Amino acid sequence: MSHEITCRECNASNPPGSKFCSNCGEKLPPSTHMICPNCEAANPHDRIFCDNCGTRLVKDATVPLEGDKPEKPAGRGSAFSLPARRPGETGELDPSLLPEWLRTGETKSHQTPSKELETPEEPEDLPDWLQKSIDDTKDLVQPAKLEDLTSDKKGTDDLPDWLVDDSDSNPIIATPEEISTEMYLDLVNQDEGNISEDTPIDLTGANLPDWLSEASQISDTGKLTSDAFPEDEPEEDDAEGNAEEAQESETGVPEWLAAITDDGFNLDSSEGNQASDISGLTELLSMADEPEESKPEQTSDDEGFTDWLSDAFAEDTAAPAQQSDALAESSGGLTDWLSDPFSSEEEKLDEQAQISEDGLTDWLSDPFSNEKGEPVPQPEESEGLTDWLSPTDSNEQSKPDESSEVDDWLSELDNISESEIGTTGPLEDLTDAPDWLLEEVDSPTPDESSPPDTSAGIADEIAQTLVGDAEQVPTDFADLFQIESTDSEDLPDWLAGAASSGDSFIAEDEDDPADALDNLFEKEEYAAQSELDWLMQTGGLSLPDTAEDNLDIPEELQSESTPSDAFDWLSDLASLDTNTLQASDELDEPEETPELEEAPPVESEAANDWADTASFLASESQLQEEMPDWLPDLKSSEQQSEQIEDESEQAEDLPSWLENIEPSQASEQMDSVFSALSEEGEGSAEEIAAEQPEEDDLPEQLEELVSEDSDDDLLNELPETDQEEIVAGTIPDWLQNLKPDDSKSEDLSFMDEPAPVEEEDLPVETVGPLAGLRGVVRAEPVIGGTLTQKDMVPFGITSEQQQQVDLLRQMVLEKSRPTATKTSQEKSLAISNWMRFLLALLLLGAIIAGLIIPNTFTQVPDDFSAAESLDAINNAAGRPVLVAFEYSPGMAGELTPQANLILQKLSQNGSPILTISQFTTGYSIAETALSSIDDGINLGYLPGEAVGLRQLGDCLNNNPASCTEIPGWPNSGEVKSLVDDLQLIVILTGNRDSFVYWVEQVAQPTGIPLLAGVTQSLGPVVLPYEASGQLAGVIEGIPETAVFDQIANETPTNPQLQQQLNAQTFAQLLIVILLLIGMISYGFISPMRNREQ
Amino acid sequence: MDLSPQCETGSNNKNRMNDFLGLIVGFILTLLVFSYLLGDNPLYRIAIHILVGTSAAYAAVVVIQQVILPVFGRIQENPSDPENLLWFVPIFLVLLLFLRGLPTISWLGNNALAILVGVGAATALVGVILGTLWPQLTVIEPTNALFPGQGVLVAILTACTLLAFQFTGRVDQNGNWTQPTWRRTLSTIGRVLMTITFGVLFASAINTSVILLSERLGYFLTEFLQRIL
Repeated sequence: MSHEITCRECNASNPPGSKFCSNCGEKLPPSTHMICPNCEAANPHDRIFCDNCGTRLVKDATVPLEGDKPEKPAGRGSAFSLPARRPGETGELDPSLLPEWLRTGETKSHQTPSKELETPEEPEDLPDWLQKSIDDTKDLVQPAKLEDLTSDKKGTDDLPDWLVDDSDSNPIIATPEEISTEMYLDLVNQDEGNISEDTPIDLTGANLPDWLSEASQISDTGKLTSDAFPEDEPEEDDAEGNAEEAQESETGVPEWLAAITDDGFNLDSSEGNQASDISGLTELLSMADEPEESKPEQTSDDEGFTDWLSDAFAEDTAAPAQQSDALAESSGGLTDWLSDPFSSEEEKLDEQAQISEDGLTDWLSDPFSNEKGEPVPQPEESEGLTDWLSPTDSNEQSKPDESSEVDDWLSELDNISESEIGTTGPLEDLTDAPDWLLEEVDSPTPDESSPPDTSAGIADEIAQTLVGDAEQVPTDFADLFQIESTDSEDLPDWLAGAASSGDSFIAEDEDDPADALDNLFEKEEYAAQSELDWLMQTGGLSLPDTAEDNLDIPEELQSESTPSDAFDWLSDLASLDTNTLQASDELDEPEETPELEEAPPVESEAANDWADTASFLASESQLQEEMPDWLPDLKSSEQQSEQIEDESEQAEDLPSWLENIEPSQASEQMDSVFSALSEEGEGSAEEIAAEQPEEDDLPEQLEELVSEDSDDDLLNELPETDQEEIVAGTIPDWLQNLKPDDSKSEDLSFMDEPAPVEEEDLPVETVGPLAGLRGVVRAEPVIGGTLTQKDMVPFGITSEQQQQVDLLRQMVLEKSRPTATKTSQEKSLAISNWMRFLLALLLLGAIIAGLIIPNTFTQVPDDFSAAESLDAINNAAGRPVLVAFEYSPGMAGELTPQANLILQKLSQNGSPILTISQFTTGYSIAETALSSIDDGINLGYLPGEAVGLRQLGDCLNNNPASCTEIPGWPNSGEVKSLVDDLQLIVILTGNRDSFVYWVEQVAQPTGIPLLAGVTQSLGPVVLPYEASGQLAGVIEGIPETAVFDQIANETPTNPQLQQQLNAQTFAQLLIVILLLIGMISYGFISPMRNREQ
Repeated sequence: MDLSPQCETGSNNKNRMNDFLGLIVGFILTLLVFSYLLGDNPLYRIAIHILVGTSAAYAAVVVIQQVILPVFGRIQENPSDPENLLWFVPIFLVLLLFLRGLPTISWLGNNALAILVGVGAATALVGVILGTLWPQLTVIEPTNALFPGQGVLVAILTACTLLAFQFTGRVDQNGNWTQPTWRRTLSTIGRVLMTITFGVLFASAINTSVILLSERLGYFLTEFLQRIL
């Protein structure tokens, strides 16, 4: 099921609720839904039954009573009027869609009915056309889906199966090979033959429609027996042979006709009020008789005449003697049911004669008028009568002037009948008859030997029937022909479908056709109030008083049925889309349903429906002015007949209207629908028709199809107003009840519930804003009530949630353990402190061990720089040397041994020693050092760091001014001369800046060689300067001091240097061991900790 | 002055007592400093405070004795000498620096401080360029077969070390700070060199510290053993 909205422009599917097409932007039809009254599920508006619960969505109007029948707009009472199409919107009538045989008049395949019809006593062996009708009825019960009705069925398949059924090997009536006037001439010949021989009619005549063949199958007993269809019925495909064999076949009266006579149709008629008898029910009967007359293949021989006809004649003899001579003359072939109504209803229907005539099909009403022997009261109405009927008129009613107005072919038919029968009909009267009719008359046929008396009765009856209300004949036919003859090629498919639908007016009741007919008019309420009512509403159908009384037809409906409105449905039908025809075709698809099995006998229903159809057609006869143009053109025109034969247009159209009014299958379908709906208690057809807000004239059959149609195209063609009204139909009942009484307009009457509740019975709201209103829906008690325990959702957590809770609890607990963590931290701190203390002890032990243990493995390295330092000192021998003590007492332990060795060497070389220091403590250290050699001059403290050294450098460059600015610097005397003659500068420092300043500010500007005695920590800084040649030598730490001591002195003068060197070695070994232990332990412990964590 | 042998023996005993007292005080202060092995403690702080106090006092005494008093002595000898009058300029700047201790008029010492810093920076800059960079870069050592152009290598490594402290760069599309590849490479080389240098300096400092400890321990052992034995 899809609720998507299909765009009209691009056919793109759009999601439900879309207002504009997502593909082309076209505005989409409103996405409305029908709310199921039961489950409140949203259903597409093309649904009839709820997709969810199966509840019927389209409300069935209750059986409208006389008092509460909704007033319908005048002229819209026709049930066949479709709502969707406007008269101008007929562009889709494509001639190419017509069946080929209808366009060309030729059929490629000609089926010869060879299969014997089964007797009524064997309903399981129903004939095909009955079986098809049953299937069609089933199909109606199970609505066809328009999705299946694809456009590919617009060919010849558009015709109903009873017309074109190639699949059936033995169809009763095959598709006529050529539909032309000759066909009807053949029919006349067949009728002639039947009358003469009183033999079963060979139904192989392909030109014979089903409903005509159905009439031809009537037996003498009034029932469909095997006798009526001889077993030796030939099977030939040749159309010509069929025509000949059809004349040899015996025509029987159908059972339903016999049943009508058996039950004694109580509608008496009299001559005096024959015209009034024609109204209503008589129309139906005359309509039922119409096939026999129009298809004179049925025999009316006295001997071979059917029982029902005989009975009818017997009853007819008992009828009042007011009947005309023609009626008496044809009494042998005229049934009682034809004569009785006029005799019985004659007095009753006098005052309604005019009305009935208006509503009666002319050609159907003719017999009655003829039987009455009364002239046609309205000569002007006979203008439309065919010419061939006019002679009969002249014979019977002496109105040649009127017969001249009758169509030729009808008059010719009458003449032919009379000539064939041997009555007064002269052939020269057929001058206006078409050629095909003349040819048939002239052509010798085997049926010519048939007894003329038998045929005379029938022919006379036919003539009387046709001429009786000749003025109405063309009305019916004209309206029907007008569609097909004038634009035969434009015949829409729906019309063919309508033909099949129209067939359903008659449902067969094989068991008891008489009862069925009685039920039709008297007992069966649905038949009276559903079928006939809407038929009455359709085209202004009028019924006789008796029928109307039984049918309870309101007067306003009759009054509303104006001739001008009678054929709106036809005009609407003409504008229908071919899709509708497809829907009709679907009806022809056989499908069995239980309802049909339980349905009353088919033949009887067919008779009833057929009668309904006749009444319907009779009602259509009111519009004589709408007689088609082609019908007058046929009057006595051979050229036109030839043209018909050549072009095969008008001739082809002729069977079409016969198809449309073919009663057998269409009536079955309609009646099946009615019966099915009646069984469901959902009202009659009229009720269904009343469901449509504006399209009341839509017959329920088409209405079903339209409502069941899920094809969006078909729905999209509906006007907006229709869709809106459909939307309005979705208003739920509770909402409808909420409306104030005065606001419940009649336009929503179609939404009436099947069992509407009287408003007086509804409670009146006494409080609240809705006070005074009736039928206010109470609030659901569930809303105001309290929830019960069972409604509460039990609390529960999932396993995942439980795990998360546990994890959160664990994290909270771990955070709440500060004591343990603090203890571990303290422990670790204590351990680290103890470890440091242990390391300090180990270092002390190593150093002490190095100091105590004699040097056994430490050797003084052979240092090249120590030799250079000794060379620089030696180069400055005898020359003043400035020794800068740039270190504090903290570095005294490493630098003091150097200072002592250098001073000793300088002192040994005889170099005057000048000491200076930029460290305040250096001054005292220098003093201490100088004191050890008892030589040298301590120049004191040199402030200013780099600036002081820069000034010293300038002073050393023989700039006296700079020297005088040095505070405490001797500006004169021996010291000044020593400063000016400095040969070497020795810097003893452990500070990088002091070293750099001496290099940059003193040694580099003055060019005085610089010897650096530095600590081991400052060794990396001094080495680049040594590499660059800016230093005359470097003595780095205790090791080089020891080397220098060995180089400078043959024997080491300072044994402490060896001890310190030995202690340093022990300390370095200890450090290396501890590092290795630490690295190894970390390599093992760390993974273990990681594993623990 | 005539010193008798008894007097010499008494003075030697006093010297020995002073040395021994000094040895004890020194040993105690050494232990106080070594107490830092057990963490920061008052004993360590007392030793540090004594060291700093005595050093500062000693420095002050040295500066006064070695710098200020000679200047004032020179001016006092010939106050009219113009060369001696120039000493008032530095004295004035020194006085201004003393005003730094007075918050209200501390700004008066900014100029003296600026002159001091500026002159010192300029002097150091010139000394670095002329005394370190240029001699280092221009040195060619033919005897060094491995690095005959040591100066170029030193310059490259020095540049790499300097680029290691260059943190300017560009911000890419993702908002991340980035540097050119070449500069990142040189910076990496400079950081490696610094790491090596710091390692060497640390090791040298340890050696120096061990030497100082051993000297101090040797001193104490020698002095105590000699005095005890």
